[in-house]
Amino acid sequence: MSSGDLAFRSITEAAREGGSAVQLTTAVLSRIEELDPGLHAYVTVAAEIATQRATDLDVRGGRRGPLWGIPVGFKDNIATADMRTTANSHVLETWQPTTDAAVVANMRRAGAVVIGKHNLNEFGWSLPSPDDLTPAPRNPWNTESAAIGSSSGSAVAVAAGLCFGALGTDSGGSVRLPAANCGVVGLKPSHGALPLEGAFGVPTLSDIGPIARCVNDVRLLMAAASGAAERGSLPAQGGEGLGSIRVGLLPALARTIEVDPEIGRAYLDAVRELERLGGRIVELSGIESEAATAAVRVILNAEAYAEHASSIRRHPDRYGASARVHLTQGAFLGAADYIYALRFLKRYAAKVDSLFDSVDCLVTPTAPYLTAEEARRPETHRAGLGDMFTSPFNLSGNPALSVPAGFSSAKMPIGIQIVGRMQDDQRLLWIAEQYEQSTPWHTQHPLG
Amino acid sequence: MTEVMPDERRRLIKEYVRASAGVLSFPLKDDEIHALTVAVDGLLAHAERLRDTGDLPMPNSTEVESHR
Repeated sequence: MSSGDLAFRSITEAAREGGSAVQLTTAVLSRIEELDPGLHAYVTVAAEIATQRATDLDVRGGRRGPLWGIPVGFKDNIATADMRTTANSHVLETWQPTTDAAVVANMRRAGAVVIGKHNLNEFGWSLPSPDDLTPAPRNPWNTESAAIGSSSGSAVAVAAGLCFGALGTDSGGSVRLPAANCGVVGLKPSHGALPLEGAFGVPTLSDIGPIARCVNDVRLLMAAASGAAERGSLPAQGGEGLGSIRVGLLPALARTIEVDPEIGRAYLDAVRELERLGGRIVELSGIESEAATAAVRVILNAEAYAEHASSIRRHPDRYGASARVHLTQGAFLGAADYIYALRFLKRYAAKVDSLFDSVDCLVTPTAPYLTAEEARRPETHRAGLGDMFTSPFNLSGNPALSVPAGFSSAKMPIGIQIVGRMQDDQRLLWIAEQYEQSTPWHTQHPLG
Repeated sequence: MTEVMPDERRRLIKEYVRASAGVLSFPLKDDEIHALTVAVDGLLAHAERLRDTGDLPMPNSTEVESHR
């Protein structure tokens, strides 16, 4: 079986039919060697460590977890004890953590082979800059275009078959937006569902979230990363059909921003498909995103500054130009601004929660733009327009997932976002899986 | 209240950034002061949107908030 044949199997298929852990690891490493010089999905590829780990698993024998022998990667702001963790910054260029992040330790216990560390915007809050440690990842569907960040390396690696699954971090859409942009599935779980311990992020908004090529793989990664798999609690796939599910739309949210017309059409097609599957469409009002995006910007910048102030003062030249500005701007907020934003969060979360009295999920486009270049226009980036659909749910804390929903005329992937009730991630995954399995989008891959 | 025009606002923010950077001991180059001024202008606009929600500090009083 060639590396290309293996590369796009689901985790379940790879574990069942892919052969030994060494075969899977070798296949992925060979694909990385061939494709990553042009994609820049990885900051670090740990070929020797991964091969040794796979060999050990094969020698030990017997499946001991849902990810047994499966090559995975982590965004490089998540600590790994056996390989450097740089956050794509010269500040941490040679930092070797002494312990794994909690999610890494859980994934290893589930049998995962850590193949390497994925590229990101420096510290997850900056734009690609010429002085970055590793150049920005390219979109495998069109390598002329960059991939939307900040977990861009993880989404690129999964989409291009350079690993079977990944964990990224999401503070305003950083798992869901690159997943949509690369044609894969990305989940921001309920706030706090996965431990943030050992990962860079801002405590109020950030969550670690899985990225994979299908919803069931995301389910397996969640079970492994949370430690549920180790406790023998592996959630089952749901049955067929949406039954009497009520699907909420937020037309006021969509009106606040000019969505690319091709994304708009794919979104409406997806809504029709959900309806065809038995979903009942409910239009909701009372939720707008501009103030929510504003609150996210205030909290994100205040907390990011608090994390980095001392380090930036000590060695400013080791931060990239973009990161220096992004991570410093929070210094200019007043303490009251932060308090207002936290108060807004509380009210907003209660308001979003109340929507779930009348619906079972919310559906929006994931991203308003098709390319990273559009999303990174200075005025767009400053206004937070690129994460207008995603960041409100970092504020509310609800689980939210991006699932492939089609392609543009230029063959750029499009995703829709499905949002679930707080702490009911499994139902969200079930709804998303019904949609996914009724459409062909997740079966298409770049660089096959 | 005197309305601050955009150019004047930008100039004031630049002064604020330059002075605050000095107080906070951030060594900033000239081009960074410009970039930071633009970023802070955008961020303060977000913060002002939340100030405009009319909330006054009303600790531990959801009842009072609901009457506003």
